[in-house]
Amino acid sequence: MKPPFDSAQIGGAVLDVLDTGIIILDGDACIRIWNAWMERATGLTQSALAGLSIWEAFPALADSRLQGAVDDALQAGASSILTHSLHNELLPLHLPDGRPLLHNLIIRPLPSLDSPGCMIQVNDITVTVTRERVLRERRDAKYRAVVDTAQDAIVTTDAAGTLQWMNTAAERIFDLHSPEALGQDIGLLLSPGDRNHWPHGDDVQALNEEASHPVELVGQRRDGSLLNLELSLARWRSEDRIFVTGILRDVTERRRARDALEQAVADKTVLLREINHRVKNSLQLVSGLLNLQMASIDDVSAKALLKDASDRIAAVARVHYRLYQSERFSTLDFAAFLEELCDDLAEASGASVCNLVLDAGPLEVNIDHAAPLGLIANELITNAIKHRDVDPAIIRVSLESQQDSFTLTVSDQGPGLPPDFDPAKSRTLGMRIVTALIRQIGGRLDIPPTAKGTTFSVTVRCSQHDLQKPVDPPKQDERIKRDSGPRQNDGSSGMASGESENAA
Amino acid sequence: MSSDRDSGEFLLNEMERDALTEVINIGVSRAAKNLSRMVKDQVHLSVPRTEIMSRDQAVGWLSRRENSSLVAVGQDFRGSFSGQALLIFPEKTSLELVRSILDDTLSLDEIVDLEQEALAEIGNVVLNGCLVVMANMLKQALNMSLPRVMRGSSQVVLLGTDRNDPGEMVLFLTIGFAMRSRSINGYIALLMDLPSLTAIKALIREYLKGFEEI
Repeated sequence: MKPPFDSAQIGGAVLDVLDTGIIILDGDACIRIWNAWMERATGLTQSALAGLSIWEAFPALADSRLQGAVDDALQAGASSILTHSLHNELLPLHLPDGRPLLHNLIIRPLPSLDSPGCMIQVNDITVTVTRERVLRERRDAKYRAVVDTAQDAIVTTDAAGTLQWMNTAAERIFDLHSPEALGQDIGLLLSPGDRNHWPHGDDVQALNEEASHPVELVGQRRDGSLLNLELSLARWRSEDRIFVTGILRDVTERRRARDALEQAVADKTVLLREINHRVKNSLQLVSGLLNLQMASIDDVSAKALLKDASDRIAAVARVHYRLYQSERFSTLDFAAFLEELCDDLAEASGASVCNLVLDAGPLEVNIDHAAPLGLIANELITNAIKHRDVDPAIIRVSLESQQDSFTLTVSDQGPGLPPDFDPAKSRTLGMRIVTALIRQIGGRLDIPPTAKGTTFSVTVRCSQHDLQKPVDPPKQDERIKRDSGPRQNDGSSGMASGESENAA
Repeated sequence: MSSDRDSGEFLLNEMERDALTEVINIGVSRAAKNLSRMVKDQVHLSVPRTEIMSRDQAVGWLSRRENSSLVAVGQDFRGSFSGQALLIFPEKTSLELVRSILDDTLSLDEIVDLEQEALAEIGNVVLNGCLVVMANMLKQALNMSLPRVMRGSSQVVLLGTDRNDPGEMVLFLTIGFAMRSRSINGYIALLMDLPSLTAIKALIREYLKGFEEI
């Protein structure tokens, strides 16, 4: 077995090959060991420093934090660390190329020596710090290009909602400087009512890593003035810490434009309602004039003609009435229109004369079809009333929607049409109006064979504006209109409906 | 917790308690002065509390005051009395503390990167300040370890991950501190086992004798 090495000799050899600086001071802070690494980093040899205290060798270090740490180690046995991050330059150390050598220090007491002493260990962190800085700069270059040119405020808080960072746009929008805002609660930037939109504590855990949907809220500037903001939030992590970054877009202008647009739409609504109202009033006036004229003549057939003309004008007036009653102006609630029409016709003809049964599913028809359809319904129902064979006549009116069309059906229990009836060749004004209007709106008239009475069925293809109301389809409104007369009905013979009207 | 106070009084008479509080007070004042110089802000200290309780009770005491996650810098000391010194503050204020000491121009990422290292040094300065004064006044050499940074609940911070017996009775000394203008607050805490307390009692007697001789 070989004899053990002399530990003092080994110690000296090791100190000189260590890739770290070692200084050993005695109880008077005199330099006792200054290893080869220290000689290279300072250009001072151990022999040149022999007998000097470290404060004599480096007067700039006296009264520094290093002196406090050395005193604590020598007098009380305390260990200390001095880091580059809190102290830019601790010892005057240089790399071979002359650049400063960045370092951390660890000071430890050496209680095992005969007299008190301490060791200063110098760790070179130049490579680490430089690499970190290069990486950070590379990363920050792209990042800065985005955040510093952004027009939106970008703000970061920690999980507790304390402001940690803001971009230049945030400083401009909120009229704040970063140093005065950082460290304060995010509530500094938000109106009191909207502060809970920014996540605090447990809400942060719930926030997804992906950006959330933007919300609108009210923020406040330094002077307390308010501004409309749109906030998008995202959560991220760094070194086990969670941060929340929010992009706050100033939407004050957008809100103003939207409000102005809403106002313009509201103004247009009022205007359209007013126009429909006036058209209805004018039509009613015309209808009223015809009624007056009717009262002044004695000829019964002329009276009947004026009455029909007046009723037709009233039917168109009703279309305009319905238009200004609703919120929409491009479509007409045709079921509601039919309900009113049936009510009025039943009332005008008298309780004992007819019993109108309406079964109308919800349907919105295009405004282009509204007036013609209103007139068609008016003609078919009036005709059925006119050609009843018993009182009261039972007349069924139904409105059904199909996939891409709808059908208006009017059935009576009257005497029925003659076998050779052709609506296209009919000479009566009522039928001519009906066939002309159906052609105008591209519809089809069917007269299906029925056991009793007559059925007219008008089918019209829906244009893209004819909308079925968003109501549960099976639960169609069924409204029954009937006068006070009895329900039973035994229609036998009479005039063929639709055939007796005089030509104009 | 009157039984704990009784055992404390049993071990230390009133005069000895006052003397120990004074020694610690001087130590903490120096620690606060070190901290105050680093953050360039006044540090306010509360009156020290000294109690004998189990480690578990100490955890309970701290968690009642600070329910959020904590950061602590700990240093062990060994000598004629041994124990653990801790600088504890809520995790949410730790970035603010680091920012107050570092250069204002650093970015958030840089501060986060440097946080751990800076916290270790801040804790080191504060805790050494306190321990060195105690060692000097009681004329004892202490061997103090390098600082380590811990994060977590009061349990993690006070019991550590090693096998400290939660039922063990300890001297638990706390001083609250606050920096008003920066809304930073925290505690300096000393934990010593009962054999160390017996040693301290002897040292306090020596210390008091020194005054009698004058």
